[in-house]
Amino acid sequence: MEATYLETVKPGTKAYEEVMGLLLENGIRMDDAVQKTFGYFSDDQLIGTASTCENTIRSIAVKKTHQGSNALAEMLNEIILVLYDAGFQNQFIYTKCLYADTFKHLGFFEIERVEPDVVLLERQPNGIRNFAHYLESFRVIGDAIGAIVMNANPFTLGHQYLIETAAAQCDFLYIFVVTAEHSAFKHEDRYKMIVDGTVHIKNVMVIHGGQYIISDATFPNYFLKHASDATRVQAVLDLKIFSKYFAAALKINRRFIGEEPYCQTTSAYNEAMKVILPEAGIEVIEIPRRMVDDTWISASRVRNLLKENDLDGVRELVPETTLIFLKSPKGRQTIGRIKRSTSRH
Amino acid sequence: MSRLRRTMLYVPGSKPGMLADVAIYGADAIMFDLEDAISLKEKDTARMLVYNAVKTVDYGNTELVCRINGLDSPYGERDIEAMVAAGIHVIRLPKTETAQDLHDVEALIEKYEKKYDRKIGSVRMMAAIESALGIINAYEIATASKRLIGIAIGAEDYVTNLKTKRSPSGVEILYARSQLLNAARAAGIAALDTVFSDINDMEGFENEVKLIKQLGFDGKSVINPKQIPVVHAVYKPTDAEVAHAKAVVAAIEEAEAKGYGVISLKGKMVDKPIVERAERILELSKLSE
Amino acid sequence: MQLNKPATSGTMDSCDISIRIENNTGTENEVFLSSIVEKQYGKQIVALIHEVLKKHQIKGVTVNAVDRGALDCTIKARLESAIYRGLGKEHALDWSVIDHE
Repeated sequence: MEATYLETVKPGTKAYEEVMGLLLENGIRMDDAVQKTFGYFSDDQLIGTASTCENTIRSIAVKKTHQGSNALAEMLNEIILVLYDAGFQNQFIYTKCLYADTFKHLGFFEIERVEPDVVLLERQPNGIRNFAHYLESFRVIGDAIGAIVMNANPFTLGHQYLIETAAAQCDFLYIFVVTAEHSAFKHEDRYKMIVDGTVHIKNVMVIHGGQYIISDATFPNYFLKHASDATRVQAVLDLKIFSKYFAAALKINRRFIGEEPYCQTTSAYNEAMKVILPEAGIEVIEIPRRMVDDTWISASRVRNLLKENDLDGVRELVPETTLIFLKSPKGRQTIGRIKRSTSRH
Repeated sequence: MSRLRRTMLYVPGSKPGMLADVAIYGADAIMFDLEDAISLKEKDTARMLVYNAVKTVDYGNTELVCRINGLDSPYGERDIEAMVAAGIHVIRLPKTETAQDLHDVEALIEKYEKKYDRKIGSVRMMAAIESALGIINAYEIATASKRLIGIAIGAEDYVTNLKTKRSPSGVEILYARSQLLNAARAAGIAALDTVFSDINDMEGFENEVKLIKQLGFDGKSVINPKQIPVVHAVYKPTDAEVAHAKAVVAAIEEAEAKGYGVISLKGKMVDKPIVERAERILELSKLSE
Repeated sequence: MQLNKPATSGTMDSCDISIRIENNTGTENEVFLSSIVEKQYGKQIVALIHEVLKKHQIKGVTVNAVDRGALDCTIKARLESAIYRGLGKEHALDWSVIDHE
């Protein structure tokens, strides 16, 4: 019996170089959003690798000499157990379309694909179906049903203006809040700021975006600074999932976006949107940004002002409801985190 | 001696493929391990796998042994319960140091024999001795229970306890082997030797088997099926030994028929130990067929 | 009866089966199986899984099973381990319930 084991591999080590070599040998790139890389060893020889970003498994490869053996299944099983132990009930695999069947035979279920580049699979047999049912419970009757996906980090007058403008053009408007925790403000706080800042708008509902929209599974590069080739593919995947499940469940026929002059990634997403969504019968409506004193309102500007302790500046850019949150204990905690951090989000 | 115990094939309780496969290699006994080979997270699933295997896999006449976790762990009693319920033949206690260790296990075996309606006394016991204290207490351990079929030495933990390590000559465990063997013989139970863990060194393995046979051991734990035929070959009596044994037995029968008190064969006196050895060789030969 | 928590047991090694079991939103049991012997034995394995769930009075769960050629006794053992883990009773079970026909 050969001894096989799974180990985390850190960049800068010899094992990591071997991992990179193994990926290259298989024509697979190291995913931009990877947080942790595993090596699968047999008798101390690297025979497989996979990496994870939260609950998604990416950049998977098995040594050519071990392909067709049970090595992939055994390695995958070990990683699945690591993720279950970390508390993730659902798990995702992001891989090339040609490997879709391989992973379906290992207990994963396809959500959506972008031929020929990527397919996204999940571990829960009914994951996306249950989510679609959950969405259906929020369905309202109307002709013009709109949607906005929003991070609101934090919620600004710009966000509020976008929602007010969009809501005026719809019978009903859904706002999906990005759930992934890669932002200075926690998901539950961002959700609360949006709810509080939109109580005066009658035809709006705020919903947790969940695992299937701008998430670690569908679009991890959204949270990275620079756009890459993979960013566009992920954007398309995310939008196809939106059309297939979100729009279908809620009869959404228009999606609103704020004009994006700053962020490469967001503007790549918006550009993809203008191509993909109309194919599914969803109109994309871009709302020009609101300006205050000849300057654009943006969440990143608010965060910079918070960093500089310029509360008067912040007051100009956010609604009263957000200001109340910022002064709360949780808000102050978050501001403390922003001051200590150097990240963009 | 109704049962051969030349080889006891060790199998981790967590490997379903191996649990079924071990049936076919012809080991005299199979030892399902719930102890050291099983991580704490998989204690429950290994116990369940072994339970189901013992219940359903056809292991023929092979003696089925289970190495349980010690009673100082939260798993020991659960293992005993499951194995008694499954109908295991022998429960092997690891790291035995005193007779009391066995009394404690025996009390639990009896408790669960009653609960699962098994004949009291039907589940046998085996003790592995893996420390200096255990070796010192070997005779006390060997006579601790009527259920005991044998005692075994576990050398890896023992040499660590002695502050040394194993060597090819085995000089560091010679004392322990001899002490354990004497205790077993004095108690009238089997003596079983430790594992040889380098499965690629078949020559070293064979030398060790020859050594322990010469010392008097009944057999040895094995960790890989390919070690089995080596042990069986070493333990198989030679044709000359069998022929001599047959002649001894024939001479006795003849002497008894004629009513002679003293028996001689080819001019040598045949006394009781010679007869016993001849009978053992014939039985070993018959069982080795 | 449903589970107290989702549970996993087994592996994807050959001759083993990996089981993931979670409560679903309904009252029926749902079994998803992928197996290297699906064509010959798929139906039998699914039936065995349903039977074991029923024996333990489990209702309203989804089973995701990946079979790598496990024997029936292994399938049963893995599923029962997962059930007991899901019930939080993995070390406190009564073996007279785990009977065999």
